[in-house]
Amino acid sequence: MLRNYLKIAFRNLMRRKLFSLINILGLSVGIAFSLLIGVYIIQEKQVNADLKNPDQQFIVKSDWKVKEMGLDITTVAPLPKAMKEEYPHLVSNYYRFNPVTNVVSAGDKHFKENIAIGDTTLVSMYGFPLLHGNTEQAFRDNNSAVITESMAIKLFGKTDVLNERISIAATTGEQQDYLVSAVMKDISKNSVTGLFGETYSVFVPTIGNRYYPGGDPAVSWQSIYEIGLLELRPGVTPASMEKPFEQVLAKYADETTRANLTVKLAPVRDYYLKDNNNAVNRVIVTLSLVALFIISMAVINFININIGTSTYRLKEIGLRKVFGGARSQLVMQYLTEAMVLTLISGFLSVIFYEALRPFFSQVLQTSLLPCWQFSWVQIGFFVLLLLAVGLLAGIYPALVLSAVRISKAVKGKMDDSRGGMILRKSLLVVQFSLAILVFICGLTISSQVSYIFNKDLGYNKEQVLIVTAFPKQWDSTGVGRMMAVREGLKQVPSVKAASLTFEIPDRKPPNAASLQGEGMDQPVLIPALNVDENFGKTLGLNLSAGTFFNDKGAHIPGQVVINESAAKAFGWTAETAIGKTLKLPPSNVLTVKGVVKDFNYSSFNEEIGPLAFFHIEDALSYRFFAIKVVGDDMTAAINSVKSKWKELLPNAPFDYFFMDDKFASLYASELRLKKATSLATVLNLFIVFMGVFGIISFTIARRNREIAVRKVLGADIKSILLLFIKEYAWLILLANVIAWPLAYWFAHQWLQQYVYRVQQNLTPFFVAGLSVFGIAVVLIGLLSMKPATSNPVRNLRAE
Amino acid sequence: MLDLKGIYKWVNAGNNRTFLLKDINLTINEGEFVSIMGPSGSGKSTLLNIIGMLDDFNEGEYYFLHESVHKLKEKQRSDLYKRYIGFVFQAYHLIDELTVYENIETPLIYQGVKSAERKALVADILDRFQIVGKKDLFPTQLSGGQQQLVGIARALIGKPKLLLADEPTGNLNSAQGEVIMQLFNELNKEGVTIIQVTHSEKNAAYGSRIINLLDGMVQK
Repeated sequence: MLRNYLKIAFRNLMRRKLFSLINILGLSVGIAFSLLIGVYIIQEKQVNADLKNPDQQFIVKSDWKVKEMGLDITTVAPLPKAMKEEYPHLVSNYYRFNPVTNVVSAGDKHFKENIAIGDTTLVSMYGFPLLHGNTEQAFRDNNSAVITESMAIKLFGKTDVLNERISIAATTGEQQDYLVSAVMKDISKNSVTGLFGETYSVFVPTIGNRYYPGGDPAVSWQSIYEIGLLELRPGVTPASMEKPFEQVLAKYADETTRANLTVKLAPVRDYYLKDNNNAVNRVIVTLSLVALFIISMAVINFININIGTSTYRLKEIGLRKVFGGARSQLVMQYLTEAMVLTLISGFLSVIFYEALRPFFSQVLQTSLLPCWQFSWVQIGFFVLLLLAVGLLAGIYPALVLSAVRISKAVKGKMDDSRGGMILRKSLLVVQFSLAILVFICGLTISSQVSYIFNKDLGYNKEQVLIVTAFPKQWDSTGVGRMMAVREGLKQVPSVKAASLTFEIPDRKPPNAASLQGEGMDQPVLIPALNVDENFGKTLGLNLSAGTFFNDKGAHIPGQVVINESAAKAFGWTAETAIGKTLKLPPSNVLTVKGVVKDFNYSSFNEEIGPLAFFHIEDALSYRFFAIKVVGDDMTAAINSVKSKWKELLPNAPFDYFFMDDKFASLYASELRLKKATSLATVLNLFIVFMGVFGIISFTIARRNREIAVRKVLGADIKSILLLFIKEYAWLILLANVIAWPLAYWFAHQWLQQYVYRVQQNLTPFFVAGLSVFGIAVVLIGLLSMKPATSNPVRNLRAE
Repeated sequence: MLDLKGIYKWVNAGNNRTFLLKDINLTINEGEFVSIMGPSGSGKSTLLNIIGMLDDFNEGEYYFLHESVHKLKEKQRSDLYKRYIGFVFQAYHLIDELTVYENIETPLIYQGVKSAERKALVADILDRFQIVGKKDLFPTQLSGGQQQLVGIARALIGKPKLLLADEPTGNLNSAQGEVIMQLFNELNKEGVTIIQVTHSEKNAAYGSRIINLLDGMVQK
């Protein structure tokens, strides 16, 4: 029986090549897109699943009463350790690390690396697989380092590097040596070593560490910038930890911390998905919706075309019934056909998948698995997807067609052609609505993205080279040396300005200062950044009043520059602020030297708030050189800066990026979304118009006689074309009516996350609506041209 | 009313030229009721289509109301037959998607008649053919005879001078056929020129003149 079904199925596919082609193309594009998205989602959900006991792992987060008091992602350094010691029946393990970036050297090789100065529980707690070394005791002693496979290759050219010596530059200006005691297999994406997007490659013990002048950074209850993680005992819930946290804080922490800090535990398992205001989850939901749209479009095409062309099949159905075919058998036969078609499409979609994989990996900034590496779970999902699509596409036509009464079927007439028509038209309206909806949303996303990239930020991000400043020796000697390097860099002809700074405008400065303005009775917490007097000039900040520190001449201690919002927060204007003093505990008094116009120092999701600039020679910490270069030949400019750098700092790696690239990377998810929606728009339109093409083809074939009659009755070409266009114009109009409010709502929701955003206007709506209409008119025109111009006699005679 | 002079029509199949019509010379005056007869394939329908300007001919001259049709452009020709000619088909050729009323109205729309006037004209003809009660039905809901009545009503709605009918009773039973032929007779008496193609001697007898065709030639 099945063989018979298959044979009939193939013959039918072959006989109606055009429609088979439309169906297969549409379905395979839809399935391929779903497959790409599906694999992406599975991979994203898989992040952190490889960790040992993933459901018992938690991140210790901080909820400060005043946001500026600390970071939410870090905690009080000794807290996790104390929790394990005081509550061993609740906490089974802890890991803390202090994330730093500095130069790691082996022999004469120097690299800028992310280094985690942390506890030695790293490997045993999370079960990271080792290539070399002892899993139970990865760190032999406090002079041991654990590095990743690729780090080993970078430094030594091989992975078996146990007992090799590496040295890490410290902020004291010294080097600290370590012996490699274990080499980890490269770690897959996870929220422990990749907590804030950066990946760490070198791990050293916090005990005995000399990176900071004070030694081990994890012992002081004053230090609140340590990353802390806990593994709870099985069955222990985060809620049951609330009291223990309070008790430990009460026992050890100081008054301010106790009063302002609430400790929160966030599960590591889904941290990646939920981090950053649900960013990854939102992308997943958006992409799933888009994939769902596209696949339903393809399924709708299949249903529409199948029912529309069913007149070809009715006679066959009638005869089968006459000869005793049961309805269930007919349904099976139709389903088999749908399945065969879906399977062919599925096969094609795998080819599409492979072809599109590199492009998608780039858009989604991940590496999608090649299809030959699919796990059984992924293959299972794929097969389920195919079955579901086949069933969805096949079941309705199967039920409708098999239900046609014998007498009508044999004559080749549908029971109720009007009913079928309404269904077909509603499905078309659904398709058009979805296409227009995605189109409008895509256009809105594009316009927000171009707004982000074209808005006047208040500083100039173009042609600013950011070079990591090494060595990081955070004292007056170190700063003095770096200032000398800055002066050296300025001598390069293509360098217009250079600045030594701790911050660049890619985030809200995490350190806040408690500043009390002259005449104020309360201090305010204001994010502060440490920069030098050239920072304003290098980044093109606009001064409202005063000067950017002492820009002509030697450094004068005790000066501060604030932005206009800060001036307002102190109750001053830009002009009156100059010369006013600010009290900074414990006993510093700063004089306001300049006021800059507000600028976008972080992403558009955050409102511009008060900001204070401290001079780097007062604050004594730095991370970057910002270098403004001029000229058209950037490569040459970079090379000249680089050779000067090598001359000034022969042992420091020249690690650089451009400010505008950094800026763009803040909006990676927006750019990703923009690309994804543009692609989805194109695919949607492609599938819809393929469907419309199919439907018009068969309606025209069926209406040949009608067109001929109309021509005989005196219709000219124009009125025949209008006849068809009018039919679809209504559908498209209706689809616009449905899609516009939805699109407005979606776009509105999406735009809400930005403090600085475009106003929605009618342009995207009209562009989407009119282009869909335009394409439809052209398509209909082309298709109906032939019957409209052909000789009616021929079509009438065929009757 | 119309004059055909030396009309030839052929099709080329490979090297062979098959003649559908050969040297047709025919004059039909106003008020005539002509029946074209002949066996299948003798060229009856082709001749009718040429007279109705639905089909081209390869050679000869055709004058319709003193216009030389063979010199007219497509557009002018279509204007001409839109105004003066009505068609009735063997298979009715009603538009299934339109109601009886809309079917009859269609030619008026194409002739650019105003809506109010259309309403009046359609109402008149529905009344005359006694099918007012059927005006909102679809063609599939009618019997063959009723469908043909609608077909004729549609052909007459534009007040043509010439009615062309290609086997108008071919799909009908004899009683229904009788009704249609009676109707033609009446119309003819009112001054409509009618040319019909028929197989039936009896139907042909309603006409005032019979033209016999054989192998594309008029038999004398």
